[in-house]
Amino acid sequence: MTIALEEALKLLLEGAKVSLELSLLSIFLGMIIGLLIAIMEVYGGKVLRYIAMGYENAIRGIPLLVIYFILYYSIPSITGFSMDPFTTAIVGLGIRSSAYQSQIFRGAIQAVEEGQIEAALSLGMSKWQVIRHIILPQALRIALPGWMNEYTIVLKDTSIAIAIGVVELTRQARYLVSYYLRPFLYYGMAALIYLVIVLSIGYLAGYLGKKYQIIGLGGGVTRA
Amino acid sequence: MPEPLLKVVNLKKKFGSLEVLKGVSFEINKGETKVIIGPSGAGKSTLLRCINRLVEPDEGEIYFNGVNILSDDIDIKSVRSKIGFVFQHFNLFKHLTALENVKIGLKIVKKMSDEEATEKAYKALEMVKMEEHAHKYPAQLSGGQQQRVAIARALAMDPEIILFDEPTSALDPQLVGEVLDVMKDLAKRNVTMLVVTHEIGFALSVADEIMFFYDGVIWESGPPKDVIYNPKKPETKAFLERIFELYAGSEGGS
Repeated sequence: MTIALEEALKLLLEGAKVSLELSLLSIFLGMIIGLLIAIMEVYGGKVLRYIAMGYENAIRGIPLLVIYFILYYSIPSITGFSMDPFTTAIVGLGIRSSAYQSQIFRGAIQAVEEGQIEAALSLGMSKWQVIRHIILPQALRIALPGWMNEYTIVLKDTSIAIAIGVVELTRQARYLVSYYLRPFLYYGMAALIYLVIVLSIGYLAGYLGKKYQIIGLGGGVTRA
Repeated sequence: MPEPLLKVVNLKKKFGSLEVLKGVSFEINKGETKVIIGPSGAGKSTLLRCINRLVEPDEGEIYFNGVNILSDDIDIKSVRSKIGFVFQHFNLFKHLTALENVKIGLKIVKKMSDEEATEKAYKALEMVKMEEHAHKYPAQLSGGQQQRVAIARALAMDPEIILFDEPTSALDPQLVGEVLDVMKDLAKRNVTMLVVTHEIGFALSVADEIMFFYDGVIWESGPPKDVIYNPKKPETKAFLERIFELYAGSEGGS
């Protein structure tokens, strides 16, 4: 059996679209959780801090594949609540990424000098106003290079979603190989597509870094 | 006698076993400028930070317009918005321009419209002669310019008193003058100021009173000329001699 190259490419690109969607939804889910964890770690009381650190360490200690299997098989077996593969993949990858993003954000938050926080408080701002208007705008800029790097990792790790049946780029490549053989060609094409996306992100990161750069503030240009 | 604007009574603060404030008492009336001098690391900054509760004192009372701001039912944010604070290291918000640094408190704390805040911020920047640098970021300004913006940021809030924590000691010597000039100007406009500084010349020219802070208390206080030229206590004398040695020749005393 054979398949035209265009047909194969079309299948792969359909998979790539799913991979991209999965990666974007995961990185943003991870960002929301990661930011919360980071804020808890830096500004929370003792209890919140321990919860946040426990979460971070636990998640970083479990392989993504195991997180997927727990979400996809273990949790439904106990609770009866189940998610479709795509949703499971978003949640799993989002959770995994949140534990790394929290580290990126924690470092960036701590890079904002204590003196600026004192200054903001002395103007009469509340703790949340200080976080929202003073700390986050600076921390997000400082975090940008590390965050973009994390995004490329998330994008590449969408391939692990193949294990719970998400029809993404790697799954499409394996499908092509299992039907039409030629593993070098199809896996090679998949690799190339990942590479192009990752490199594009690198350029985007550089562009954003420049666009939002402020003199005297970290978070400048980077490459993934 | 009118009620003092700020009255500090028997203020105490410990950090672990280190007793930094051992019962500080003083008061300051509206329109006055008072200067606190004393050895470094002795707790002068802690004292200022206790006044707007950036640091929580252990004991004592602080009356601001007659109200004890250390009581539990006080809205400390509202009190802080009426007490300006100028820091040794300026502490400007690095992601904001000079103008935005001055505006942010007006918008977020005082809930002013953008237009109103811009107008008010420009006025404050004019008072410190920084209006032409309004659109620069802190990293583009010299230390003296940054400190003037920081003063404008405090001024714009229409505070009832401004606390200065060694406002010139992080500056290169040639930049000290421009900041002191702004502060002298404020003193002449009867802005109430409590200033921790080693600038004896500033104290001599504008202060109503000098307080020598030593060993956790106000050790000696009085009119600037009396305290500086005729200190009554040996510790005050020893401290002033050291200051004169260090700053010899740099005192303006205008």
